[in-house]
Amino acid sequence: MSDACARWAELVDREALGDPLAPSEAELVRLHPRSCAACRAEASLYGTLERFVDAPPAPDPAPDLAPRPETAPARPDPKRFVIATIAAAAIAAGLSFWIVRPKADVPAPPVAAAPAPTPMGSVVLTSGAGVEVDGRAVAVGQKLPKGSVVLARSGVACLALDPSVRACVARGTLLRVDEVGADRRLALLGGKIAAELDPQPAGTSFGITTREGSAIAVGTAFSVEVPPGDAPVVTRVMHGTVVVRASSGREQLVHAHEAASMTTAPTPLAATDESRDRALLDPNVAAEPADAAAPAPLAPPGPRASGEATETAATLLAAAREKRAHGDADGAAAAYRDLFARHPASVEAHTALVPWGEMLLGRGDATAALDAFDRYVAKGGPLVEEASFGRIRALRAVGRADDARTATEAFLARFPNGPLAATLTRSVTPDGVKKAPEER
Amino acid sequence: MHHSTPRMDAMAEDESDLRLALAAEADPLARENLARRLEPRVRRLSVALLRSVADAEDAAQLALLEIVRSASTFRGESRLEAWADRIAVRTAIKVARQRRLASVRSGSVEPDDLPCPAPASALAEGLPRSILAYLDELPEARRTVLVLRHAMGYSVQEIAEATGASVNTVKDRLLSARDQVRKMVRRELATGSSSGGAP
Repeated sequence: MSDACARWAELVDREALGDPLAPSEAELVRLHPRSCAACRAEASLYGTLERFVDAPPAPDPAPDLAPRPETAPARPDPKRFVIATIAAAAIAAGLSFWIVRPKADVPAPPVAAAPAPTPMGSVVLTSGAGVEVDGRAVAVGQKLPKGSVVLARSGVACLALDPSVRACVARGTLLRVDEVGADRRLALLGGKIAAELDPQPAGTSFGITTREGSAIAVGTAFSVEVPPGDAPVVTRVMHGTVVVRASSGREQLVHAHEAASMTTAPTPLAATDESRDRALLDPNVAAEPADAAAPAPLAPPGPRASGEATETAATLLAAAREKRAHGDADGAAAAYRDLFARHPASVEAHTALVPWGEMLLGRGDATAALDAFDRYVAKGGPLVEEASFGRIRALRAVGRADDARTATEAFLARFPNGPLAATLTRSVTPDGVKKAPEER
Repeated sequence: MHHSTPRMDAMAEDESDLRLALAAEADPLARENLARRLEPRVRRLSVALLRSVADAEDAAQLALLEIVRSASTFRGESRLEAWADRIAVRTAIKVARQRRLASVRSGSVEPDDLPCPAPASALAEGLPRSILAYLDELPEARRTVLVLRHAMGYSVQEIAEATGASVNTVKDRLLSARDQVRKMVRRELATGSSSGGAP
């Protein structure tokens, strides 16, 4: 071993022991392997070892531990008895799932840009990124059979349950598909779910079950939240009526704009809670995962005035959203303009003001963006928090600093605990001067 | 219009981990979900720490059982994976000790002491054999220390706590293991052959 190699070996050994290296020593550690094959190979070995446990399973399946070589005779190992005993106990406890080697990885289905209508009783993931089903990542369009356990790991995820039920879950929510037939049931294990449904055909129902009871709806929009710990499960109803049935069998009706736990009488629903529940169902929020890669194919919510005009407005909004998700800004802009021109009074056009304003702001047209946000805020709606946030940014961009400051104070007073408040709070410097909110 | 921040994302992920673990306490399918998520990692860790297919399989299964049974003790104070790692490491070390004792008692090598097959991710650039082949040539104590330090990122102190050895013993084992690996690598590159078993 040359002197240089010996020096390198001494340094990497010190590093392995946790001793800090001087900058010049760290530089030597980094550069020496470039000119020495043996040291390069050794460094490569440790680099591979560092990545080994975290290596993704897809391109490199976990070592197949189950099949034993044919040539190896079975070992009469006492440990096997121990394992079998524990396995038997596990089965008794309902833990036997992994004793049988899991199925081979199944590639996630391709993203479905426009899934076909779901058959009666089926449950389909319609939007959301980072969604896991039974511990495996799945893509939009995935059909979820009975028993599927769904974890919305990265953001809002939405499901379609035929007939005519749309349910969206907040990030971190864990649920299970319990029944997929005429009486569809989702078991909410933790987190929050909001659902909206058209009047259900005779003989069918939709409900959400929790650790404390169930909430069964016939035709309404409502949410159920299972908080961590022992806090009570809360059902909030936006419109229609929900039958809330506690595990004890006690039943009560919760009507529109009311909230109730499984055991307490309904109370008026706070406007902010209702606004947040509606926002969870809003397609522009639901389709808001990190990369917005999965367009939500469902029609937007809101007052469901039936008719071709509303349907067409919904189609245009969905098209604009899809184009944005695929980076087609010009196509999205055209779709938004089409929506505003053809259905100016529609709910969809009003909803579209917020993403449209964001888009304009991103393009540097702050004046037009401010107009869009102003119009949304003036009329109000479930995205008013987002619109108000965009308005502050637009005010700053057009140079109206005083107005931006006033708007910021109003925003923090109105949405002190919202996700955007932290961003604004961070933008306040120690001397109390507010800077522009972060551009995201 | 993505309003979350990295901190919010991390908090949400921690929260979802906590929910998953808490749900696993009461719900069989949540338990399955938990085990399926952690199984590849636990198996890889067991393979890295243990020589044989049988031992790695046993350790992985025991560790997964323990993880599922202990899910209610997860408090979300660390990543779910880090919490599971500790159980998997403890289990693998225990299995290795039991195995060593059994071998000493029987005085022979068990027939299915076959090395674990190496996955593609175990191949290091410029080396003729997989990293598992090099690990297989190390005495168990050195192998354990090397894996915990370099595959798991444990500190010397953490390794001492996990293995029950003193800090100085861990340091000695780590340096000895690294020296042995260094000599193997250099010998193979110089002669163009491997010193041990199958790649």
